[in-house]
Amino acid sequence: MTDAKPQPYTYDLGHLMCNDPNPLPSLKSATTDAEKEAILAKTAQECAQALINQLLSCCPISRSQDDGALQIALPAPEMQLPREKPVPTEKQKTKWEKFAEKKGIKGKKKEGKLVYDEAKGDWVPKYGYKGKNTDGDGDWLVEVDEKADKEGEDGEKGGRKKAKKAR
Amino acid sequence: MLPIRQIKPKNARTKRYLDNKSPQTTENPRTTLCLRYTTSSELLHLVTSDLHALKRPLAIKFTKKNDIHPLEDASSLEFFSEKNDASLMVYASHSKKRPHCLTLVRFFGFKVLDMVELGVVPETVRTLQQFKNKKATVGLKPLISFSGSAFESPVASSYTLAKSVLTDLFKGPDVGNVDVEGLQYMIHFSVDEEEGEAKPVIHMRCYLLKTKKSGTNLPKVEVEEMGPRIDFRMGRVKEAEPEMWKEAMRKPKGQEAKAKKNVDTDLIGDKVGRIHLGKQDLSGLQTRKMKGLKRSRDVADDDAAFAGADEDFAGFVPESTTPDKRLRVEV
Repeated sequence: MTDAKPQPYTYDLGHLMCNDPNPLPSLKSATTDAEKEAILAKTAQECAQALINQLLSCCPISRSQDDGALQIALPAPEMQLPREKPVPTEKQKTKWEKFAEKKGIKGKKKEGKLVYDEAKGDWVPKYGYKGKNTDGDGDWLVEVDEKADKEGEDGEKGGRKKAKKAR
Repeated sequence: MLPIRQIKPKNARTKRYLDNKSPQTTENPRTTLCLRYTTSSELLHLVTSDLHALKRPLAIKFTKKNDIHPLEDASSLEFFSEKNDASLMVYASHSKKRPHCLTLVRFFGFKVLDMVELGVVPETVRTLQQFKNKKATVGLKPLISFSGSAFESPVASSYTLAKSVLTDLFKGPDVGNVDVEGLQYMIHFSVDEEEGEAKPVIHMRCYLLKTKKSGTNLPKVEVEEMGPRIDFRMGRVKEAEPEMWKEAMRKPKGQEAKAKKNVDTDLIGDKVGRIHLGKQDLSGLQTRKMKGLKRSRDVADDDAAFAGADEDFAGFVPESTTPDKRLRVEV
């Protein structure tokens, strides 16, 4: 291809843009519409060719893992366009956040429902269906705990005493 | 015009909507709103429908007539922009003085930033439907090209502003990478050279790109016109106020990519990193034991050995008393 362009094209690949500073060939010479369109189409074809060449040669091409399509990694755009909305302001720290920072209080991380059970060697839920807190409920033999028994009796007595007081 | 009520979010959905609308570090792509004046021609309706089709899904089309003069009073336009979260507007109007006029408005923070008035040349317009071929898929990012010296002039002119607005209008969302399959169409803007008094016309053409195999690695590109064919005559222009423009061009902190320090790529292509340690304390260094190099092997040290023997002797005498003391304690 013999491209004898007086001024080279500039590209902004981030915007997939090509700038051709060369003056357009005069359209006054074209008498019919078709001729005029042909001149414009030719200029456009040259721009497109140059842009595709630039894209395929300068940008890294990779094969995407999802569907095997070829992708071109574009650089950041050079031409800066104005923003849509102003730059967001820094959020003011709330009173609690300031206090926590000063005291060094950090948030509690969620532990989740599972707890590692050494005996079983597996993760079991802390509560709920087959939870660790209901482990002892199904025992067919429970040892009598003397202290607990005594407390139970006092508790009943205590209850009656309270009731008497109420009268 | 009543100011818009501040909505306090009552559920997660409205909160998400407000968060999307609020200023962000990385912005959403601009949504375009197409509307019309009380008098607007049939031609312009076709043109705006085509532009709306090109810009789908980021475009909204209003059908009602509005009595607004953008270059004089833009407050209602600002209201529409805020309500619909649209930062670009295409306003169609037709009058004897300005026939087939399309005003492109850009907003910043829901306030008008700048405006370009473009008059459509009626003779050369061709719509999408008039080109009987398959169009590009909806929602793709187009390739854009500008031809002609007026667009590249170092002096800020109405043409450079038009270039900026047209790029904003057609560029689509900013993406990091593009599918090769997705490079399907190109929008080409060209401007004639200035000849005499008349302001040159901007030609807008949209082409489908077809690649054919060529001898080299790079394919041969062929263009086929698909899209709307519009010629614009330059009209009035409203430039942005300098402070607003400066605000709009501000880059938020942390956006510039940090050059990774201390990481290099070898000649072979291996990634090489440099780790900086502090000064090492060599006194605690564990080395190999070489008995022959021990300092105590010298003659001077043998004298010390004798002295040590004397001390041992002397040590016996006081030791005899201590057992007694011990006995006394136990009793």
